[in-house]
Amino acid sequence: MVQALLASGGLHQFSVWIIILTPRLPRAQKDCQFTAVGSVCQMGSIMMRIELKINGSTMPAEVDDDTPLLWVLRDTLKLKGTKYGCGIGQCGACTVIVDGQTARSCSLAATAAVGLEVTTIEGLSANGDQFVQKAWQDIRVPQCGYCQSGMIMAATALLGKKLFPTDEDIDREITNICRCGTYDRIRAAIHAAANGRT
Amino acid sequence: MNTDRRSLLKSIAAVSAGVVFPVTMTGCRVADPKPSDSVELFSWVVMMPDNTVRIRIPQSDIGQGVVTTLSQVLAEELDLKWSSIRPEFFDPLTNLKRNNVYVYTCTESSWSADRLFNPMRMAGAQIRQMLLTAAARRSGFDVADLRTEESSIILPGGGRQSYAEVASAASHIAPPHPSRVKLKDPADYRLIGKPIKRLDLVPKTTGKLEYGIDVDLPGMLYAVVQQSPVYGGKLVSFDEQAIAKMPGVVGVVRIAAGPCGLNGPLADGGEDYGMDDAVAVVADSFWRARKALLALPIEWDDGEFAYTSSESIMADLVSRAGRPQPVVREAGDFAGSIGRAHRVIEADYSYPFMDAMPLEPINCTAWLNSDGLQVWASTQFAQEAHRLAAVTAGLPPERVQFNLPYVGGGFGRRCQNEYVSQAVQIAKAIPGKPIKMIWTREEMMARGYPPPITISRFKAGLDEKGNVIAWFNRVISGTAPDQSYGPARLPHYVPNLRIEYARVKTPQPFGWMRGVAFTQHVWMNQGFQDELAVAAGRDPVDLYMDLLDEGSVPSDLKGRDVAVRRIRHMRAVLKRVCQMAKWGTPLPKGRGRGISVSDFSYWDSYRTGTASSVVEVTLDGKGGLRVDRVFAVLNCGRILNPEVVRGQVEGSIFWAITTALYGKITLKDGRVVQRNFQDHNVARLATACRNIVVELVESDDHPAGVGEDAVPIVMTAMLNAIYDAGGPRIRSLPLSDHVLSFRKQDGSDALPGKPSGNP
Ligand code: FES
Ligand code: FES
Repeated sequence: MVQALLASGGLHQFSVWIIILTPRLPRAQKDCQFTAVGSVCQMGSIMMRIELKINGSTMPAEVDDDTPLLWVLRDTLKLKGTKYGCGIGQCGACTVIVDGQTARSCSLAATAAVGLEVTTIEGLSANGDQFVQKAWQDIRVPQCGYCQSGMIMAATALLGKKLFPTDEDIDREITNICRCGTYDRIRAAIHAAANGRT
Repeated sequence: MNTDRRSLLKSIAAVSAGVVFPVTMTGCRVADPKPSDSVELFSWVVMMPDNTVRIRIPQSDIGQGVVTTLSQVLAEELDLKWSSIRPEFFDPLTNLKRNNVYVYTCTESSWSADRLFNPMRMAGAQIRQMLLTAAARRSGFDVADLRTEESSIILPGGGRQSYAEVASAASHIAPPHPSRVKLKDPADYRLIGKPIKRLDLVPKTTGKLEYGIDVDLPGMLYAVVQQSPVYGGKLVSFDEQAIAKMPGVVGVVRIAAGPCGLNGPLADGGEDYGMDDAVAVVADSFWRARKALLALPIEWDDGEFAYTSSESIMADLVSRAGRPQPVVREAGDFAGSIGRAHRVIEADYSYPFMDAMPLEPINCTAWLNSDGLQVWASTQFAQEAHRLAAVTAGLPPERVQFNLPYVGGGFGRRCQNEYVSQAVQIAKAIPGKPIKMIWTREEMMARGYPPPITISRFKAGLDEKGNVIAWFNRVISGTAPDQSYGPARLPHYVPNLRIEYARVKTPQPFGWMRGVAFTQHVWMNQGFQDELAVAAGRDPVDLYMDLLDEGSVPSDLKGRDVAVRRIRHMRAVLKRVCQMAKWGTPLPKGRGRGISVSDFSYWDSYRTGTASSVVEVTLDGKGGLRVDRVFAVLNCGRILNPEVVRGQVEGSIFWAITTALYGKITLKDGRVVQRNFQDHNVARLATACRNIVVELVESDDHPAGVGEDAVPIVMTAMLNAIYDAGGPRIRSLPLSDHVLSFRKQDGSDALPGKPSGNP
């Protein structure tokens, strides 16, 4: 029903999720103007009840079918570690891991994540001791910290694919923005995480 | 329900902001109440029963680490156990009621260390005295016989009393007069100057830290706004019925233009105007509010700037540069000496509008109920935000509670507080409901507060030996406060010199951006000096050292000692960076080095550090540029926390690279052309330099600012390096507008030297 393709080069050099959405049949008809469920509303959006698998738990949510996963995470499920920065797939502040791949949750409809395993920063560890987080702390990466959830998720996905990423791998795969300019330490922390993992 | 919602929609749309709605709903206060058995001491700390200590931080943490560094300063003198510290942001209302007890609460100008180092050390020492006095009374010993360590008082014989035990008694003791308090010998510091890990390090890696955008309240509604897309435009009308049926939409609010809350009321009684009319759509989620706003038909009156563009502004600046302008500094006889010069060099430099673009989008949460008004906002200036919120709500300040969360980047953009006024106007229209207003990135880019667009025309004369004997600089910039210090307060004392400076009104309100006027003028001044060195066939370091000559400072100069100290500091960091970078050693073809040195002390009380940088670049001849290495040396006086300072220098380096590569905001028909990061790139890992070397100079001087110094010097060194590598002379920004091919055989620039109306 829903396919998600990882397309590199779709939007400039950045990896983005292209979503092919097959509209679902509404389950119930109700008033479409407020928090109605499953009704066809203006602007073509459909209110749906979905179940998402996030950080190992199943979480139900009622969403308009075009709502990006980002806003469902933040505002419906109150997982606020995932950040909004640009809303168009450019900055990576909203990066989460979907079935092992990074996804920019601002550009992925929540409905497209149904049936997939979503991991957010909250799912990495209870106390901040996942190996990438620990490397981030050892190298003292964060300044304002706002980009760092996305950075850590992107680094975690990269380290999941490659044991020892090279500088070129890092340049290619981590396209997230840090306005505070912590890039040097991010690079160092990724290498440290690779070398330090047990 | 529908009828209710529609009538609410109508009533909101019908009134303009400024009408006070009756408060209809009560809500509970959300601010964390002080536990009853905690003890506040001298406004600065709260001793908790478990012997943890809350330290009030009178600044916003925008990533520069003040939560940690200022805690180090106070805890040093108070002898606190580091692990017991629980910092919290100051409360502007308390500060107001207590006559500015927190001394300096605006987070701007890299001033936190400079302005708070003495007051917070003193506060720590005074509170320590209060605790000692209380312990002496209680134990019967003499104060002189007591010691403190790790949040405890040590009695003769080794008995201990925790601070928490004596805190209540101490709170009744008046703080001693500062003249009767002895501060520690810096040799005994165990916190100040140490590379302590940031107190908020772990939550900044777990997503648990709360920024303004994360505020969550029961029953909260979301607002998305659009200000007039043309600066200075007015709202004519909107058709709320077009979106009335959209799901979740609660209403449309008209937001009136007003002050942007930058500096508070001005000396002449006026205000900093900077906020134009706006429309807000309120809905039950951000996504729905955003969609509805996009669908809302809005009619604007574009006003006086409807046809103004960057091009037309630059053309105006260029034409003004052809006419004499007011003189702001003059020495000797420029006109005569230029006639006698062996060589005369001329060049025009220009600087475009820019945008600070912090990563956390602008947001503010406001909640008006019968208890008063509560506001949350990531701002750099909470005190002014509190004042502006009260004025906007029409409430006395005591009825407004301002809560300062962490800030996801400031860089000057959040010195303004117009978003606080906007959110309060919305909350007034929908009383009883907490409203979280979030700007889209598109709105942020459309409504920035840029540093001024600028043109800088230079003319200099060299004698036969290649010495600079005459210096002329005429600067015309867009809307800004008086920044004539940028061109005028050079550390050099060329014998014949004339500096002219003028400003014209441009559409956007002015804003401070990381690096302030130095990013423009240090680059322009030293880019041109680099040209002089090339023309004279001299090494630029040689030329800088000549210009940085103590002997050239006039003996009758007011503040001569400051001028001499500036020169000494600059020469020292310049020498050091040359050693680090092996300045003067040959590089292969296509590679080049640039160098720069400056302080930020152009403006009298602006005490920040002195920095020097060498940047190495490679050009591939086909337009490709790589920044290979960056060396930076900073002398910032006493270093409060070397790791934090290093982070600030590293951040400044990448800021400089972004500014050089991509920094430009373009106006067309009064509106900003760039919409989001797809139109305005920034440095990322692939474009950021991989090899940076930062060195900090040890010093016992008063601590100075560290957040900005490296910005102008790194940018200047990088742009000079491009020429050294065989590329064009860069006289306008950004680099992405230039073709970075090698210069032609005859040595002439690949590009015209004058801005061709293309800023
Ligand atoms: S918010 Fe998703 S990429 Fe910027
Ligand atoms: S740490 Fe501030 S944006 Fe990266």
